[in-house]
Amino acid sequence: MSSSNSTHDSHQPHITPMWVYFGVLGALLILTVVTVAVAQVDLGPLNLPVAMAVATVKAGLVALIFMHLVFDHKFYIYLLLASLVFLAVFVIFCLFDLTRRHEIRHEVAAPIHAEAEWYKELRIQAAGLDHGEDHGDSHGDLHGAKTNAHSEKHAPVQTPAAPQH
Amino acid sequence: MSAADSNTNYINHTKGIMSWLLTVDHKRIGLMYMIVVLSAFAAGGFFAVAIRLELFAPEMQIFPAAPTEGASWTYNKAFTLHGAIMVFLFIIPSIPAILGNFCLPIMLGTKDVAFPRLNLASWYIYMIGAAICLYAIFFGNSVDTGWTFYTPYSTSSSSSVTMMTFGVFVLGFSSILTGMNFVVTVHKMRAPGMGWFEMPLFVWGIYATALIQILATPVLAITLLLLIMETTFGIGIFDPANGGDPVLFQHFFWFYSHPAVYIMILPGMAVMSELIAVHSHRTIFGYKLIAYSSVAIAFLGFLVWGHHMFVSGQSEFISLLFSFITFLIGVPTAIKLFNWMTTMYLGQISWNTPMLYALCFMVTFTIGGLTGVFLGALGMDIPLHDTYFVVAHFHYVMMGGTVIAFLGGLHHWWPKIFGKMYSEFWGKIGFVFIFLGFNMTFFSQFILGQQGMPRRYADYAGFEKTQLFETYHQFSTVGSLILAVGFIIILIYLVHSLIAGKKAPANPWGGLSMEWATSSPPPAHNFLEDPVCKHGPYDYDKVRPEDI
Amino acid sequence: MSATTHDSHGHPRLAHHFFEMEQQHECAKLGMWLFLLTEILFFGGLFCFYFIWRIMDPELFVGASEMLNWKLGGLNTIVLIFSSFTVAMAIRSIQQNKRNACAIYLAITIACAFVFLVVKYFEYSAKIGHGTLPGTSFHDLHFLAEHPEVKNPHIFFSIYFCMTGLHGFHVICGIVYIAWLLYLTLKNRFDSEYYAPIEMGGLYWHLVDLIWIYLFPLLYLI
Repeated sequence: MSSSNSTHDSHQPHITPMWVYFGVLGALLILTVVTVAVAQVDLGPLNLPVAMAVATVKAGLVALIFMHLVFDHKFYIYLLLASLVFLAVFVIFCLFDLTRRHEIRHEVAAPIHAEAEWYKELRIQAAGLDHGEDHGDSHGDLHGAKTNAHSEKHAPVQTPAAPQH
Repeated sequence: MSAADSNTNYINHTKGIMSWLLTVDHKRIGLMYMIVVLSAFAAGGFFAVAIRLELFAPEMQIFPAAPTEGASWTYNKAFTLHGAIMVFLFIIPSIPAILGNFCLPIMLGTKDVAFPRLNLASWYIYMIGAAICLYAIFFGNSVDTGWTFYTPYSTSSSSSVTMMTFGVFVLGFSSILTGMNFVVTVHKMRAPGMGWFEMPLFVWGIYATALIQILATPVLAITLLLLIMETTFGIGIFDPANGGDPVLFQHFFWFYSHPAVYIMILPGMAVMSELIAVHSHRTIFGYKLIAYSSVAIAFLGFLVWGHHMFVSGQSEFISLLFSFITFLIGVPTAIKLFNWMTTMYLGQISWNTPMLYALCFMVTFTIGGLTGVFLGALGMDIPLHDTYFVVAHFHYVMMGGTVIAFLGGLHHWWPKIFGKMYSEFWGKIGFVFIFLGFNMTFFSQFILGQQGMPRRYADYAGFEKTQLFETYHQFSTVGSLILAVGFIIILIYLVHSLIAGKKAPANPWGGLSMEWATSSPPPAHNFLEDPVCKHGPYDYDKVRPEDI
Repeated sequence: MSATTHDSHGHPRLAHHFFEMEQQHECAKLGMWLFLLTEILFFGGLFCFYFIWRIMDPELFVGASEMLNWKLGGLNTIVLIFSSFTVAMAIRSIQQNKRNACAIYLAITIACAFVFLVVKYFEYSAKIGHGTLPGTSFHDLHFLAEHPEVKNPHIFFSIYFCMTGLHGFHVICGIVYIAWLLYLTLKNRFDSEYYAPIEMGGLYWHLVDLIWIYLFPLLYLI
């Protein structure tokens, strides 16, 4: 109780002006276009950070204005940031392990790089599909592939179980 | 002000089974938790005794020698169920859901938790989760993966892993909702005049626990969901046969389950602060340090999960980091222990049963904590990993810490909860059985582990040291039986006190926090008039217990 | 119960254990934020799944995301952003005691949510038709033929279906909750002093939007 009264003492809630909401809506729509536009340009290793940055600006607008974080007690912002910090700890520590796991002892629990066993059969079928109907355009042979795949559907599901034990 | 002498209280003000099943009173919900959580403890204890009897001699004794077709009970299932029941159904909800539910709102001087109906919902969610687990155990094929559900065995085991993990998934939501309720109650429901540092330390401990419950349990939920998806659809995250990484499962699992260790122990420490201060009749030493150290433990607890995985093949660099942070956790823990000892110094200690448990905690938990430092050291962990040393360590922490603190807290607040005094004589007898039985059972396991006895083995014939192992195992099994007798004694005299115990006064131990200012048992809405906080919970130098 | 302090703030929706409406409102809001915290960490496990594979095997994401139609994803982004706007407007209306406006905004929100789900339905059925399924049921031979360099493509679709599926589940929960709010609004249960349930629904719905804001570039635009 004691902490909640500091930002506004009256019982009246904060009513955000109409133009703020319309402004945020407009900004979000523009930023969506920016997201798509940025994705068309190849920035190399910066692709992911840039996409995340734009998304974070959008998310920030929603959280600060629509979710009233700007007008509320600061504690809620800290809460949100705390959850992101813990999430970051989780992701970063896991990544730290996976990316550096085999630097000292190569043989131990290397991250999985091999393809699952049951792809072998699918690959053979896919190769056959490619050679057999090379001349057709991709929409034409779609139908054939679908029925073909359906009949084979159960075989690949079974295979991984066998070498496992 | 002494509470008005009145015969109506929260237990008898309404009658009938529905008045309990539909209650939103936090005290009644606490009692409902007590019944089911203690039943779960009995079930887990049953499996524990079965395991100990099996290990009495080297060959197979009571479980089938090999998992033959149709053999419903195997040793692996017994220890899995012992672990899973004790962890998910007993220890995690024990202190927060029983004592926390009962005491926290009264200590804060409020009528109820912030969301009473949500509180009842958590109890029902707990019951649903427990029912799903029971169904998996008795109508499914039980579980034999160990309580950790490690992949790839859990994705290929023929036992009911999916059903059991779904049960645990549901139980997690009960834990989350209870945690949310407590955090909001602490933030917004404190009595007028009660600042953050006028709260009893029990509340601080439960608050820190609740923060972990909120932040960590969702990750367990998604982990179990992904495990179920992996078993059902083979999504390829944890199972190497589908391109997944089994060590990643351990990361996901321990990101929850290591903080969960602190969900288990922080409430124990919270109870300890109350027991020590009240029964030493002295202002607690270093109030703020104890309060902050709870939060520090909660935070650091998130950064150490990898110390469970030193031999799993994870990156050596990250092992170093995890090992270092693990040592750091010793600091806030030691701060608490030293503060408790200093509180006792020059105090007027009453040797009541709860105080005996508090002293027991300080001995057994210190042993458990220090052996944890051994295991957190990278080099030491390699030979000790997956031996009985680890088993002994975490039993000293979980049982020597949490269960002992829970027993102390139960005795401490029993007069408040039921308004009846138990027999102090039998209380001390029961304590002796528990203390001796516990140390016999688990101290021998340190030696077993140090000598190289691996954990999770049903049959230890054929080792070079089989004879040595047998001696210690027999010692341990006898200890576990003494322990079991101790629990039965406690059960008998506590139940007896309900029927024939003396009526408890409002403040039997001379405490100063708010729960001692209301009658025993408290009225339906805790206080007859809205209380105002006028003094700190441990101001023994300023206030006399008669005057609160 | 009969304590004198309550009388000055008596409101029919004030629960017995609170002193005043503001305390009740603040409790609900803090509780909701804590719930959102758990939601963020709940989805966090899936984001961890995503980032690990994205960094360990970037080719997989470049190749497999071609199978997703970014135009449909973009449409859904716009729909969700708009619904976030309407739910914010609904709260603004009830704060000013405009119940009818509030009901209309809530109804538009529900409509947007349905549009989202319909678009999602078309996306899912296209995937299922091509055999571009998660896990071991993946059998899209065309994809394999066109992208021989992509290893374990089923993992991308596992991530896609897990993330969008869990998100879709939250959208469905949101529809149910907002429909209930709409019903209560039409029954005049809310006013400018008691609108905590609408505000909580709004916070929840914004979170659903927030998660989609991240999912869109992470899954569709690589």
